[in-house]
Amino acid sequence: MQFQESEQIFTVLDDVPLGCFALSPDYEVIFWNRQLEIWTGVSRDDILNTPIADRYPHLTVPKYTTRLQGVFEGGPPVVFSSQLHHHMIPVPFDDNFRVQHTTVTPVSVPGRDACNALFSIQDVTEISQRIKAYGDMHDQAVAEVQERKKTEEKLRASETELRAMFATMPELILLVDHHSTILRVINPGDFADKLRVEKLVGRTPAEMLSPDMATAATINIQRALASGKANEMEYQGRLRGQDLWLKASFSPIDKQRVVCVIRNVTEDKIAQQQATQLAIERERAELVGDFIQGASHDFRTSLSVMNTNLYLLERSTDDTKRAERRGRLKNQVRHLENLVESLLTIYRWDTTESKLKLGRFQVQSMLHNLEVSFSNHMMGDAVELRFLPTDSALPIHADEQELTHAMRALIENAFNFTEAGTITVSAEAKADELHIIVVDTGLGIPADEYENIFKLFYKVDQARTNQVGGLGLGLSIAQRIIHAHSGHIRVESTPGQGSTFTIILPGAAKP
Amino acid sequence: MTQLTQSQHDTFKELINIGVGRAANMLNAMVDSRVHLDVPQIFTLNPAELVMQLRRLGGDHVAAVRLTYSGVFSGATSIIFPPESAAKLVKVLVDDPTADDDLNELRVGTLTEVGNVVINGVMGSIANVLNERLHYSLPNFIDDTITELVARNQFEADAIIIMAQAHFNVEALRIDGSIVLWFEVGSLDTLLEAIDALNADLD
Repeated sequence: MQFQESEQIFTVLDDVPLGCFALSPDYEVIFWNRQLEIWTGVSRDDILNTPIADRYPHLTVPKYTTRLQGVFEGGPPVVFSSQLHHHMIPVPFDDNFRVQHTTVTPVSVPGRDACNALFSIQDVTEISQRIKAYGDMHDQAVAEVQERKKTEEKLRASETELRAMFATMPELILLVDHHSTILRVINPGDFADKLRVEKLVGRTPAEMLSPDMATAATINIQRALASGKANEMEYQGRLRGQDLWLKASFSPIDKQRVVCVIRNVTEDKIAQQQATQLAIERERAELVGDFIQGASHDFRTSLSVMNTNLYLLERSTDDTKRAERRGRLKNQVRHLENLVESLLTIYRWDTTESKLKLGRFQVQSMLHNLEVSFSNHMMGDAVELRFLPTDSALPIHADEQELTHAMRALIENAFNFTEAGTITVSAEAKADELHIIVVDTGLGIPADEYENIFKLFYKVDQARTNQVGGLGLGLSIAQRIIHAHSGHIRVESTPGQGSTFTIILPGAAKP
Repeated sequence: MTQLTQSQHDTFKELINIGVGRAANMLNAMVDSRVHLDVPQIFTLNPAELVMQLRRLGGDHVAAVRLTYSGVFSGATSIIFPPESAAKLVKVLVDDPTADDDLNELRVGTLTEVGNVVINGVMGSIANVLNERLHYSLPNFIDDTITELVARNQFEADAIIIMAQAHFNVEALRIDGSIVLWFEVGSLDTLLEAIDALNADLD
């Protein structure tokens, strides 16, 4: 009876795209439309007039019944949304159930107070999936944006840190491209108050530096790009009338760009120069000290000898002995004269520009004059001084007087260190060099003394000198003279057998 | 224009409170979160005042669920939220952690159900007093400007509108919505008579 009644009212709902069913106030199914048959597989014939709880017990729990009560009483419709209820009638779909949005409306029954409840179920599965997919996409996009923001914040923070760090650095740091154009000033460093760093961007070295410096900088930038390796260079120039030293390094960061780190090393350089100057002066002071000490010693020695001889002369009555004392006194006077003369000579060489009186003369004639001069000296019989014949046509371009002085010093030095044997003097042309050679058969010089023998007042081993007469200045003077002629003195020696001093004058033998 | 006496006002407030209380119980049975709903104030307004009052919710746009009814007594009851609050409310009720606050179709369905529960609660109270069966429309979701929303009701300029401000408190989230009751000319009088009769019975 109930079914027929309901069928007449509801059959139109067989053709709507909704799942529809109706319940009587006692929760019996009084209608079940075709869509629900399709969804659930439950036929209308099977379910009609059965309690809904038989198949769908969840619909009789208070969550539903308290709200459905109003509908049965003719109250407002009731909505069961998909998010809060998922489904009203379970319809399997994939691993889950179809999602449903349900509206329940009262349907009054003539002659009765209570209403029936008509459930209209809308399948919202697809839209749920689409919205979920959209939501996931949205969330993913939001997550990505947040991640990017975080990364950007981190980058900003690290850039701030870097900037703070750079701010303490004195270096000017520039980013330049492969045309050497400045792309960015990363750090102005100490240059902030010297240059308008903000105006550097877009400029090239050629617009700012001298041609030499600009070329050097451009080459270094190109070299860094070509090699992929960093390089360094130093520039010296002037800025606002003051010396400026720059140290620059060029590090490629890719194939197109180079980071230039430029440091002002002017102060370092000035300090370095001052230190060098100081060292030179200290050395000079030491030299002067040594010189004074050496000279004083020689003066004192001579004066002491003179004092003794003078004392003995005054007390002696023996004419022979008195003559001997006078002779010794004269020797010492001569020695002191030589000493003073030598010191003046050295002073002259060291303090004034050398003013050689260059002229052309024959070596043979210079050596001949020396031979004559030494034959007048009192020489011991044990040492023979020999002058070897020299090419009569060996001309020389030099200062004859000074060169003679140097030769004299070398020969006297040979005498001082030769007890017996010969001292041989010769000259020869080798290529365009003139060699003047003094060979002795004396004590010889240990190899580690070669350098020292040219120092002022240096005496090899006092015990080994032949006579007291050595000033220790002769070789120093000779070396100064030869250096002034752009030549040098070569020393070869075998201790115990003798030494060879060779004056080498380049170009002096040129015709 | 009909003015409410203090006694009518109080009775109205009580009826709405009872209805909202029942609605809160139903919501709590439906969702995992604890929902607390209260009605702190009731206003009687004309349409212009209603527009002003609704604008206090924030913004010019609102999301609303509206139920109309007719019979011995005709009118409409709406529950109105600012759209973002509506989305937040839905998200916390269905435990949806996604970041976007759009009112998509599913959320509209949920909000419609929440509005349906609250409005049905209130209308149940009122229908009890009237003891008359009304014909109800389906609950209708509206996303519109306040002006358009109010205009839908085709108010007379001096119509009396009863507005109750409701607070939803869900998990430390406070969402304000407005429940607006509007009755056609004569309907309010019918209701007030019924209320007076009820008060007389109680006296």
